[in-house]
Amino acid sequence: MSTQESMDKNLLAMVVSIAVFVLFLAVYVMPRSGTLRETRESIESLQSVRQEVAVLLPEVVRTVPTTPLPQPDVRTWVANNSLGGIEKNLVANDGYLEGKGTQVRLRRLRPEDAAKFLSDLTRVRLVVDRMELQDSDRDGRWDLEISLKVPE
Amino acid sequence: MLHSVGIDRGRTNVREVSVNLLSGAASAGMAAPILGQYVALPSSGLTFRRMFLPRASKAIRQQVITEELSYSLPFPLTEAHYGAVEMGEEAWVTVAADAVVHPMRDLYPKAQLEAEPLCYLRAARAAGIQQALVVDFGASKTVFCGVENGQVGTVRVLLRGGEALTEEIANETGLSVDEAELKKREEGTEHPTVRRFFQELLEEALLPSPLPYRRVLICGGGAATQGLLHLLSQLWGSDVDVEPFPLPGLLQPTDHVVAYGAALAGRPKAMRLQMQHSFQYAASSGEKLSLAPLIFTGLLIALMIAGIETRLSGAEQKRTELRASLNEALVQVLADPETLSEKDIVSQLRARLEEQRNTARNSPARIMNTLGQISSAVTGQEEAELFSTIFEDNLLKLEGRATLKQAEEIRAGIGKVLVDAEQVKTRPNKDDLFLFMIEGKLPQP
Repeated sequence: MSTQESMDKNLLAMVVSIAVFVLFLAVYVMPRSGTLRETRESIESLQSVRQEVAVLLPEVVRTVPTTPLPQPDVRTWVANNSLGGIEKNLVANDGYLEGKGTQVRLRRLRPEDAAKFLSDLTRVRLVVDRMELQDSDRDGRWDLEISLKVPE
Repeated sequence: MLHSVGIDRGRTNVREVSVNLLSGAASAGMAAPILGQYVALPSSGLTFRRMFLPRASKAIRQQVITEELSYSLPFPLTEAHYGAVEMGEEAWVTVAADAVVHPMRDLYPKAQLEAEPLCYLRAARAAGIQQALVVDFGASKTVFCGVENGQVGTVRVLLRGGEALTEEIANETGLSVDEAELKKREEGTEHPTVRRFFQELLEEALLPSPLPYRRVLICGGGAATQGLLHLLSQLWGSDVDVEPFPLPGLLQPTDHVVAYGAALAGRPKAMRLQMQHSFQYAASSGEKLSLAPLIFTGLLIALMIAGIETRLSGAEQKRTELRASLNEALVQVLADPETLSEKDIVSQLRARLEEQRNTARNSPARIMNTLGQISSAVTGQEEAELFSTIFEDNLLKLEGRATLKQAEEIRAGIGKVLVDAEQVKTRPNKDDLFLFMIEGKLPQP
């Protein structure tokens, strides 16, 4: 075998090696590197989310309501549990939002009756939509109009 | 115990010697198990060269050997095998024509080929001899091999041996070959033809005079000739000790020197020649080299795949662990957190927090507490009174009556309870008091 033939074979082998390597880069390395990059970005994103969650989660846990929802509906619950002793002051207890809310009107309440009424409401999970408390006669008797509903 | 076996295919018969590789004990014949087989190529078929080689890679040294031999051999390089013993910058190269190598290869395909002079050298070194002249009186040839400083020195091969001597006696005396052989053995050096024959051999060997060796070790079948030791001592003078080649055990210098030396090639750290390389192979080594880039590329690709897959696997595992720990933390406040994307997790958590805060902010308990704090700010002022409270959209509006100074103090007091508390209206009443209206937002829970 001559030296020239040997060099030709070496050259051919090098060209084939380079072609194989380039093909390998195109078919394997580039797609897999893309996947690796996406995975790393996903990890960075997860770490960022985890930092935010670390701040938000304790606050969410702290503010989770512990009281039950009023049953069977707000109007009935108020009628059964908050109006004891002040039935005669009741003007109206009108349900709305398909039982999820009620508007209560009471007249001429003593301050301690108003406080007891409001205090009774804290036993269940309710929010105040609107409340008006007025002593129109300036005689220490209060008219109360309050719209209550369960939180959304 | 493992053995290496040395084989010497002589003119008259085949001699085999086994050497125990651990103990070094030698015995005639083939002992099992065999670890290596070494066949001695006869000196008559070999060409020897001593060369100086550059300090370079094996390939370059091989190229130097090829070029040096290319213009000094009597046969084409492509039809020869060679072996080299390298000692620093010096190499002792032995070349054999393929016509010599191939018959041995056919007979002993698994054996390694060794040069006869190296067999003398190893046998001499095994006996502790570093400096001597070995003379092998064979049937068809006579070999003079100088052992110098533990290396092979001069090698002379004369193609005349015991058979030629027998033929000469037969011709001179008119006896048959068998009768001449018998006469040679009976009379030894007392026969003038025998004496003349050995004298001529020494002269034809063109050895320097005086002989630069103090010891001459004789071996081969001719060494058994009666009176030969005495004759050689006379010819070389009293300064030279002529003796049979010393061999261990029951090995005979007349038969086993070469086979024993060949077997010693199997011992650890033994000097080996191994006539394995052909010039054809060396010249075409470029063909083998052509695989190197492909192998290198293959290795590179394998390493890169291993690297990328390892990193990818590690990253995937880390991502899975992160997500699992996140899901585990979120499961107490969000349903099915694993179905949510990372953006949705944060937005849902924020929405949930906002919802819960609104619930807490607009709860009856909070409004009642706020009203309680505010009423203490009003009732602390004499003559002041509060007669209207409206709460809507987180805004608390208070109306009452007080002096101007008291109204301001009430606003200041309420300002500690409400956010952005401001006195939006103040107007005089029919008495000395003023009607005031203060509004502000309930603070965050």
